[in-house]
Amino acid sequence: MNLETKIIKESLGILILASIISALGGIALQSVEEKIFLALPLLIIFPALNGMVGNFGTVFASKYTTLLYENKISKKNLWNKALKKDYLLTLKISLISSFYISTLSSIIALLKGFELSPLFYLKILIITTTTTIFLVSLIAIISVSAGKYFYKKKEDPDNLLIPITTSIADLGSMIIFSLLIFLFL
Amino acid sequence: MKFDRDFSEILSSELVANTGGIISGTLLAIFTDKLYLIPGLFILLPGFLQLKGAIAGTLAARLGTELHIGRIKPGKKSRLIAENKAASFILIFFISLILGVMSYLLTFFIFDENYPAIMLIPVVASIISSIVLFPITTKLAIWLYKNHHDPDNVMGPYVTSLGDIESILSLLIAMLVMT
Repeated sequence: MNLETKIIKESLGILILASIISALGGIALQSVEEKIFLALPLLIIFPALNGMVGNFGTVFASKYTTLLYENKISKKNLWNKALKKDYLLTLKISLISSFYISTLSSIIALLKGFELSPLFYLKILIITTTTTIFLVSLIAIISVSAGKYFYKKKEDPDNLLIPITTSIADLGSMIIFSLLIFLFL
Repeated sequence: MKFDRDFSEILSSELVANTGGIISGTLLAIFTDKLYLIPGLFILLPGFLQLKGAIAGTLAARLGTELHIGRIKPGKKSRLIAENKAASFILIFFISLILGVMSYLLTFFIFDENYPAIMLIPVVASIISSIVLFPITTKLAIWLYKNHHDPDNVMGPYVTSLGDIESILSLLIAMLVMT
C-alpha cells in the first residue's frame, strides 16, 4: 500500500464522522441564524469560538494521555492533583481567551457601525464564557472516562481521544452557543 | 515553573489562533449581505472550518515527524512530500462533497429550503483554498525545521489561523462565483 492510500484509508472514517457531527451541530446554529446576523459581534466571534473549543479539547486530551503513560494517574484516584492542575490551567486560559475574543469582536463590530451598549457587551461576554467553561469541563470529563476505557482495553488513547473530545466539544459548543443566543438575545 | 511555562506557551498559541478566528469572523461580517442569501450556511460553516484545520493540521504533523526522523531533508525534493500533499487534496475533495450533500439534505428536510448549489460551494471553496494552503503549510514546516524551530510546537495555531482566514475567503469567492 503506498503512502497516499494509507493516509486516506486511516483518516477518511474519522473525518466523515467529524463532518457529520459538525453538520448536526450546525442545525442548532441555523435555527438562530437571524439572531446571529443581527448581533454582529456574535457573527465575528463564531469562527474563533469554534476553533478555541477544539483547541482546548486537543490540549487537555494530550495532557491527560501523557499523565496516563507516565503512570501519574492511579486506577483508584482518577481526579488527582496533576490532573486538577491541568484542568485549572486550561480553564484559566479559556477564560482569558473568552474575554479576548468577546472584547475584540465587540470593538470590530463598533467600528463597523454596530450600536453596542454595555449591557449587550456583557451579554456577549456571558455567552462566550459560559460556553467555554461548560465545554472545558465536559472535555475533562470525556477525556478522563474515555481515556481510562481505551487504556484499559490496551488501545492508544492518543489516536482516539483527540478526535472524540474535539468532535463532542464542537457539537456541544454549537448547541450551547445557540441555546444561550436564544435565551439572552 | 512548569505551570508558568505551559501557561505562556498555550496562551500565546491560543491568542494567535483566536486572532485568526476573529479576522475570519470580520470577513463574514463584511459580507453579511451575501451570506444571508445562502440557505443552510450555518450548517455548512462549522464543518468546513473544522475540515481545513484538521487536514492541514495533520499534514503539518506528518511533515514534522518525517523531518524529525530524517526521511524528508530540507532543500531536497521528496516523493513523501508530494504523496502527503496529494492525499490531503483527495481527502479534502471527498469530505467537502460529503459536507455539501449533508448540508443540502439537512436544509431541505429540516428547514424546508431547496438550494442545490450548497452541495458544490464547499467543493469549489476547498479546491480554491487547497491550492494555497497545502503548499504554504509544507513550505512553512520545512522553513521552520531548517531554521532550528520545532514545527510540532509552532505549526498548530498558525495552520489553524491561516486555514480559518483562507477558508472564509475561499468560501466567499465560491459563493460569489456560484450565486
